[in-house]
Parts: sequence; C-alpha cells; structure tokens
Amino acid sequence: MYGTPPADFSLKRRGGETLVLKEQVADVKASPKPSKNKRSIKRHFLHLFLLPALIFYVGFQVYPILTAFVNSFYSFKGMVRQDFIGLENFVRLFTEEPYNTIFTRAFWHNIIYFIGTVVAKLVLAFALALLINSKIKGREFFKAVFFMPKLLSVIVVGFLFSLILNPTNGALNSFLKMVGLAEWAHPWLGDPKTALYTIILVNSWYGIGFAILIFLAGLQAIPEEIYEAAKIDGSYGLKMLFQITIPMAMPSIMIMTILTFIGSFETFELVFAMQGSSGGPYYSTDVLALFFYRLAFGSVDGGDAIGLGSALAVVLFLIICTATAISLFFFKRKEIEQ
Amino acid sequence: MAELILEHIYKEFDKNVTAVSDFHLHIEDEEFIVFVGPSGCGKSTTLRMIAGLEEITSGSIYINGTRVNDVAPKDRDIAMVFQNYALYPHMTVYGNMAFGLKNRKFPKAEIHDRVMNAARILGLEELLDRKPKALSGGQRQRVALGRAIVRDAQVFLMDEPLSNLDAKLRVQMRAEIAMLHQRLKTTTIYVTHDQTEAMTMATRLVVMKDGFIQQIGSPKEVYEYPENVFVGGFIGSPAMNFFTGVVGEGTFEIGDTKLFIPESRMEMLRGLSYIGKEAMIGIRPEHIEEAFVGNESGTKTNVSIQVDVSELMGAETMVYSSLEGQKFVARLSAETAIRPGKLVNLAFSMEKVHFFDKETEMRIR
Repeated sequence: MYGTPPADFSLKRRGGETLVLKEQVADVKASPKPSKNKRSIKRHFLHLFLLPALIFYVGFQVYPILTAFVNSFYSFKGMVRQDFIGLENFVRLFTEEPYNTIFTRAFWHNIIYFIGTVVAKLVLAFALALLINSKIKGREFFKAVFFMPKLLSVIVVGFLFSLILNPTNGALNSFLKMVGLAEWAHPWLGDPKTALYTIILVNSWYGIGFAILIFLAGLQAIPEEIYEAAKIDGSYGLKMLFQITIPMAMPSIMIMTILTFIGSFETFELVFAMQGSSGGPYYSTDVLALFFYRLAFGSVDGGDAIGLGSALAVVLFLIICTATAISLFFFKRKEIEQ
Repeated sequence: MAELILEHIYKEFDKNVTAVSDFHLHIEDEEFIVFVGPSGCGKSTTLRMIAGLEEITSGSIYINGTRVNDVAPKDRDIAMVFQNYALYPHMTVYGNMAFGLKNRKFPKAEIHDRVMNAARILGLEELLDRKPKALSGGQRQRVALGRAIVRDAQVFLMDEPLSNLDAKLRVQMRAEIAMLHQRLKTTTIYVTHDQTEAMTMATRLVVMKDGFIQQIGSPKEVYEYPENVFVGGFIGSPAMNFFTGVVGEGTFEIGDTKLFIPESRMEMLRGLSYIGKEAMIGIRPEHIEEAFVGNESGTKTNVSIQVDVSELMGAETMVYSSLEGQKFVARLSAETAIRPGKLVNLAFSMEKVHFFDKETEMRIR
C-alpha cells in the first residue's frame, strides 16, 4: 500500500530528521489513504515546528504572567519571596494610604484617557477615513501621511512633543506668539489642568493613522450597492451616515474601541517620556501603569514592592480582561444577530 | 403605473469609452421590458441611468411625461432590485422593507400595513424578525422584491436579480416574478444576460451589444425574425446555426453541398441582386430533422453528414456535426437512433432559413 520511496531514499536515510519527513511525504503522495498511525505521526512531527516560538512565548509571556499572579499572594523582603498572605496585598492596595488614593486617582486618569482618546482619535479618524474613502485625489498620499507618526518610537514622539510644548522656547508657544495669539500661549504640560489632555492629544496624533486604516478597511467592505439602494430609499447625507455607514462599519468601530480601551489602560511610555515616572505635575497625569512601575521598581515601598506591584498588575490585567470580554460578548452577539 | 420614454440616450465614461449609444425606446404602461445582452453591452448602465445612479451624457429620460434627468433617485418614484440584493444587513426583514417608507415619512400604521401585505404576497411573514444573514438566497431575493413592492413605485428596475441563485431556484423565482408582475401590473424593466430569462419573462425584449440596441420586439418576433447574426446567435439555446456560402439560382451552395432555396426567398434574393454573391444562412437547431424516406418535400433538403457528438437531454437529443467544415447542432427527438461516428441523413427545413448579408451581418429581407 505504500508507494515507491524516492530515488534518493538511501541517501536521505543518513539524514536523520529529513528522512522522517521525506518518508511521510512519499507515503501521503503515493497512497490515497495512509494508515491512521502514520498520519498522526506526521501531524505530531509538524507540531515540532511550533516549538521555538512556543518556548519564547512561554518563557517571556506565560511564565511572568503566572509568576505575577503567584507573587501577588506573597509578602516580600526585597526580591525574596516570604510567606503566603492571601489577599492582603490587594486589601492594602485598596484600603491603605497612600496606595488607595493613588490607585483611585490613576484609575480615573485612565478612564479620562480612554474617553479622551475615543473622542479625539476615533471620531476624527472616522471622519478622515470617510473623506479618504470618498474618492478624493491623493488618497494614498494622505493615508501614508496620517500613518507616518506610527513609524516613530513612542519615546521619540514623547521627547519631540516635550520640545514642541516647552513653555518658554517650544515651537507651539513661539508660533502662537508669532501670529499674535500670545495670550493663548500656555505651559501645556506644566499646568495640571491641561497636562493630561495634552498627552491625550499627542497620543491621538500618534495613533490616528492606524485607526484610519482600520476604519478605511471597514468602510471599503460596505458594498456600493447598499449605498445605491439606500439612495433610492431616500437616504442621503448625514441620514445615510447614521442609517447605513456607521451601523455597517460597526465591526471596525468596535475593534478600535476595544483596542483603544486596552491601550488606554496599558499606557505608559508616552506619559513616562513626557512627564516622568510620577505622572507630573502633582500626579495630574499619573496612570495605573506608572503607579505599577513606581510600586514594583521605583521602591516607593521597599519592603513589599514586588508583592504589591504584582497585585496591581493582576488588578490591571483583570480590568482589561473583564472589559474586553464584556464588549466582545456584546459585539459577538450583535454580529451573530446580523 | 407609468410609461417611460428613453430618448436618444448616450453614456460615455472618461470621454473615450461609450457604454451606451443612441438608446431610443418607448416603454408602455404595464410592460415587462427585458434588456438582454452579453456582459459589457450597456444594459445595466442604461438601467442605472433610469434609476438615477448614473449620469446621462446626452439624451432625455421621461417618466410619465416628466423629464427626470436631473431628478434625484429618491424622487423618481422607482424601486430597484439589485443583483446582490443589497439588503441592509443591520436591519431585520421588516426593517429592510420599511426603510424606504420611513424615510418618506409614512405613518407607522400604513408602513405596517404595506409591509405585512408585501410579506403575505411573498411568503415572508414568518421571517420578518430575521436579519438577512439568517436567510437563504431565495428568501433574500424575496425581501429585495418586498422592498420594491412596499414602495408601490411607478417603475420596478431589476438588475440581474436571479443571477446569484442556483439553477432550480432561479427557475422558480423567474415564475414568481412573472406572476408578481401579472398581479401588480407595475411597469418593469429587467436586466439579464440569460436569454432564457429574457424569453420567458418579457413582454418585449431589447437585445443589446456593445452599447447599441440590436433589436426590440416580443420574444416570439425576436426568436423567429432575428434582425442580425448576433441576435440569432444570442437568443435561443442552443444558438442558431450559421453557414457561409454562395447564393445560386434556386440553391444555396456551401462547398459541394447545395441547399434548396424556396421560390419566395429566391425572389427576394434576386431583387436585391445577391445571386452569385457570398451570404450567410441561419437555421434553428429544431429546423434540422432526421431524414426518413417519405418525409422529403419541396422545402426540405437532405444532406448526409457524420455525427460528432450526440447529447440526450431527456426529452430531446442534441446532435453536433459539421457541414463542409462548418459546425452546427440539430435538435432531434429523444428516440433517435443516431449515434456519434455514424453517417446519417438530416433534412434542413429551408422555408425556415434566414438569409444574412455577409458584410453587415444584417438579415436580408
């Protein structure tokens, strides 16, 4: 039932692993129904190719995550794990000063960060995607230009904008003064009232290209015929936008909202680059990831840094997971209904 | 109900590409007009110009006497059924049908009545709460029809509405659309590339090719008296057979084969001085029969040919062969004993033959 082995069979035999694969391939080609045993051997053999990636994934993703979970239930002395203390780290995080104040403040900043980014980035990105999708000249050019910031490192973007927004010699204030709007000049990053919103805008500038691409893909998936049918059915302009375009682009809108949520709760580099590890001025831009960084590595509380930090990481993980799961659940249900 | 006048319509894309040329047609109230032709012949473009989805380069379209060239699609009082149904995936079946009425600010009660009525006609009552995704192809097509029906529009425009359905469903829906037309009597313009659909549904056919109208007429007229070689070859399945030869005195000579020409046709050919010239004849597959001793008559010519392929279709057999190197197909009865490779006699019914000019490919008459 097996086919003739390839002509160079005997040569390959010395080739160790190569030989096994060769034999399998020859078998599959030659006989329409290789035995179950042979097929499963082949399948298992193919699994081996996943191993290198799996090793890296487990070593650098799964293992640290699991360690963080375990560590959050232990007390620490420096880097050394001590006793199992149950939920005490979590209780301290939520009830003990200053952790609870910092946590609550940072949490709300993350929420503002998320809402602000949705408004500034997603709404504008959708509008721009609509424009680019409407057969304007040079659409490829605009697509590229809007996407360009994403090619820079976040740290570079943060540094660049720190320079631009410098209150005394930054480009923005200089420009405002030059055009006679000196009274609009402002220490954007230095004023606790504007600092967070300024960072949100910078982040939106940075990420808008990606959002535009996702929205464009969503818009381009809407068949032209649907618009034509709607036109005949008396749907025009804004009406069409709300009746047809937005509902049909919902999958891409949902995906971007979920990604923005995850991004907002993970945000670290940009704030760190622009405002330092304490989310200045006066913690006005402090977010959970910064708090975690200070807690775990910044020796805010030398004794239990790892335990408390792990607990915060776990909380952060749970917030993101829960919110994403809930939104995906509703999104999926909506999709199935359609 | 409405009558439509399409007055010398032209459509040019990008200056150089002319999609539709001099389309001139008067559509009577209650007609079921079918635009038929191969893809790229301009039939869909013409329909879209009537719908207002495509600008008219020159010419005028009148619906009930009103020139609509510059009227928006929603104000033309037309309803359109698209090839891919173009249902709104985020709305239920009810929502899809009600959408046009809602936008026209109809009272809720009337919308409900109209949608329910259309759902009854189309058998969609059970499906009103479903989303299009949960429907089969045939059901989606019905919803698309329902969306047109509820509007009670003056004109129905249908752009290849059955081409996405499987063969069996297509035949069924074809009959349903025809019945719907008999019931509602709404003037309908239907675009298809399928000549069977065109033949079975139309009150009048408009055969198009390369943007030009080739022939306008009832299915019977177009089938029996094709204006040119293209129409003869396009309408009818299998297609009309064409032979090139020379017109002699009383015979049409294809190589060594001489086919008898009836006197009435001879008079016409003589009058137009075709004697001695090259011409084409067209003969439908059903006008070639098996020749038996005794069925020879004045208008039939028997020729001896070798059969290449025979296909039993159930009720009939298609026999493929060639005469002096020119291929043809004959539609014979299912009982025929003719088999591939055999040498057989076939009788050409020469009184049914059409003559075409070799150069212009137009029917000689």
